[in-house]
Amino acid sequence: MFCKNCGKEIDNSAKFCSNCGFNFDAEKLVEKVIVDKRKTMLNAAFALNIIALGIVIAILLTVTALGDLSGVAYFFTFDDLADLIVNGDSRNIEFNWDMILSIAPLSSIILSIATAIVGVIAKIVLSSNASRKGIAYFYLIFTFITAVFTVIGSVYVFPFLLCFAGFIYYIPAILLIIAAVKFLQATK
Amino acid sequence: MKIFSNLFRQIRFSLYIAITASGIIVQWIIPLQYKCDISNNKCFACGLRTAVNLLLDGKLVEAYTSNKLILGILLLGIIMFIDVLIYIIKIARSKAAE
Repeated sequence: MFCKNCGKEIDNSAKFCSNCGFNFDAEKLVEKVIVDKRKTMLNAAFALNIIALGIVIAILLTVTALGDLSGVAYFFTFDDLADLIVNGDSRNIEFNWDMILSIAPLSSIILSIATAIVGVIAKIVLSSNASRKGIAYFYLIFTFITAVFTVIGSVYVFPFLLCFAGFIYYIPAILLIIAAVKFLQATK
Repeated sequence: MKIFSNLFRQIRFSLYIAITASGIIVQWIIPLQYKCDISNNKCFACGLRTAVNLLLDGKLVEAYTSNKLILGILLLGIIMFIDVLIYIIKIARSKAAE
């Protein structure tokens, strides 16, 4: 092999360069530290993604368990979605601002699950090749949309918590953004 | 083991950032406040914002009277502060050793 520092040809098993004294073991150690750091960042990003998903589902399941305590007259549910897919527009849903808002809670659950799936893909891709920045940027955009829907969805189904307790709505959104930043940091 | 500890620290610190940022948004930035009249239900957050304001003014007793949950927030704040402080001291020491 050749020394990375001076370019002189040296023995493959050599730990130091006989010409300039370059330490190959130290270089390997630095590489290992960088790889470990990147791996930790990927794992942290993925864990944050899962925590955010858990919080979103917990908030919206709590709302479902509490029934119509939130005072929302209409909540676009999975049944509605199934009806819409199977039977078309069977419920004569009017596409107005209220309807768009009513999709937000369901969308935030679906988007959060989708974000977790994209997170798994990003983790696998970046673990094998850290130079693929495209997947990290895709995750960032996807995450941003999910974060917005998460806040809108939570506020829509649980509007009476728009006081201090409403801070729980922002936690998953911010966690997702942090996860996206960590994925970006893990790229080369 | 060190990787696990780093991972745990990153997750912990990210949660601190998320909680602090959410608190700042709700306390000072979000324009929508106090909509409890929608449900007529009392929730645990009643008076918490006032309690936070009182705490920041240094009025501990008044803050506690406003909402007892302020103790939990105070405790969380102290834990977060100590945790971050220990990390900063460790970093400073390792840099000084170098």
